[in-house]
Amino acid sequence: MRPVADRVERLTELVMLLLDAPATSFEDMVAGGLYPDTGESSRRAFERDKASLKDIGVPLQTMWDDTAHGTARYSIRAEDWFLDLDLDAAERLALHLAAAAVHLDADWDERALVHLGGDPGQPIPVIADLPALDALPLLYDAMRRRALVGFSYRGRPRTLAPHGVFYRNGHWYLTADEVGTVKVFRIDRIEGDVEIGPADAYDLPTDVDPTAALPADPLQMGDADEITARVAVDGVLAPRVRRLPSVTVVEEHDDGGIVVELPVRNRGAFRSWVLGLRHHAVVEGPAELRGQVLDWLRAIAGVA
Amino acid sequence: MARPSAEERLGRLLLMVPWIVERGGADIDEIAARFDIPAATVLRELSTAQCYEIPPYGPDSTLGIVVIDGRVEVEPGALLDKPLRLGPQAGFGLLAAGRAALAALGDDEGVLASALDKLETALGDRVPLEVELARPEVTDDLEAAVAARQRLEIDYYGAARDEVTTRRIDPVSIVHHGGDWFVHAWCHRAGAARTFRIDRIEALRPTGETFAPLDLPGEIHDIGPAHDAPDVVVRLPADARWAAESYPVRKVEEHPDGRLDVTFGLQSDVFLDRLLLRVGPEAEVLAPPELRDVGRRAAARVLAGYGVGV
Repeated sequence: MRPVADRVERLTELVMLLLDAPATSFEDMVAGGLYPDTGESSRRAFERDKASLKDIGVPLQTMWDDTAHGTARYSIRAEDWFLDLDLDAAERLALHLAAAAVHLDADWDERALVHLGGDPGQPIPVIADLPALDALPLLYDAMRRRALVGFSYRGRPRTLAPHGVFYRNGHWYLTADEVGTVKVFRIDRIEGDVEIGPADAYDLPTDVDPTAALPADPLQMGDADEITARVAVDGVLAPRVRRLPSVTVVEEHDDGGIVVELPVRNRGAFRSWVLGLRHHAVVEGPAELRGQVLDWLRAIAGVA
Repeated sequence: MARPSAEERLGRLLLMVPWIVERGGADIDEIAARFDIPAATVLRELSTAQCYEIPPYGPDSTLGIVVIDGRVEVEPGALLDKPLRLGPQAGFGLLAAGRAALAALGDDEGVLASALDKLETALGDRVPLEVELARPEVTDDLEAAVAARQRLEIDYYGAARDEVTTRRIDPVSIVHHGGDWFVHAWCHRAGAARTFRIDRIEALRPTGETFAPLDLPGEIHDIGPAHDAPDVVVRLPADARWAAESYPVRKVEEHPDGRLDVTFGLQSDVFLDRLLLRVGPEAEVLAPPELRDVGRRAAARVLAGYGVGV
């Protein structure tokens, strides 16, 4: 037996000793030469090493041996630690290409590729650019473990059972159950830290579609009654407006202008959309919507 | 550079050994490039690690690392011969990138889809993770033109000038960014590289011409106001925080009552008109002074369309 002086050597040999081996006690480790004796300072070094292994994600298991006066025994189970991912060469390459073609604002996917081995070969152009928010992997991991999550949102503390995450129109969203109601939260608007509760705290509904809780059309958000807006659009913006999935062109004019109808629930979103078209669009009806837009414009213009 | 901690060195070693196993051995230089550390460090770490051993101190009690003449092999059946599980960040990152690539490229039945299926299974309980990258109709035609280096003629609505122009472009790349699709191209009308938002292309026609490979200046990610665009400072009411999140901003100062003083790069007069009309009467231009009246004038122009004089 020789003393282990270097900390990296000791940590590595601790991993080697515990990996897929029978549960091992601290005394066994001393006998194996990892620690000089069973004294207090050696035990403190072992506690520090355990914390280090936990920090780098080594799944150290602790068991209590009742037949030996409650002695703690430790092991690292191979099934907890190794990635059982039976990719063929084409699948591995596809993941490499996907990670190279999609740019996240963090090196998360790059790190994953080191685990997978292989490389994409030639550099390939980026096809999509996605924000990487710190909360995303936390929420994703909490969902995998069926753990409730807590955070502040719009100034109010929330406790939620997450149902899924999705990316749409440049933003990441969390779909989650809050006291029996399924709601959608924009993840970049989470205020402060995300807290994760204990595992197995709820059941994830089967076949859940996290995107279904948020209408793709902002004009359809909310519970207000649906009304049909009628909007005249001039020839400059008519080509853009007629392509929107929710509009129906009801009139075509010789100058290229059109009149469209579209369903509206969210009056505020409608006003924002139609004023984004500036002087190229005029709300013809119904009177409720036209009146709201006119009042808004008069207030900005400072006229009665 | 700070000396890496024992934990960082161990974490790196635990990744490095299975990576070498998967490749069937690797040169020191290859390992150095992959892990972004000097070759001398790789050699030192692996040479040291090949001496690590545990009881009963036989050939099966080591990491099986063999370093000879600048090459590293790991003996079959060694302790760390398989890749390690992905942590939450790596797992989420790879799955999100894969889902985004699937959404961008289509092909739900292909090799990438089956790789993602296996990845999700390996990560444990499946969790809904969706990426939507809705592609405007003409994106397929643009992709084909990029691949074949076909010169196109487009009718394009330029939001900054609020006009539709016809341009000949040589498209070189396409990217999804911030919820929109863009094409980067050489624009013959501008005589310069330009990035066009694809949903603003009103019509697209092949010219029948092709172009030579181009190495365009500028990044497709340079989307938003030019660096030399002047500042405009707008005070937004608390309920218009969305405006600071929707447009590129240079500076945000929050007041105790929730109002925000936001500095935008002034892309164009049209941008400011649209912002002030959408945010409403509570918005106020603080600087420069000559723009304080922009919102009122924009509202007056729209009101004229309703037959209301100001």
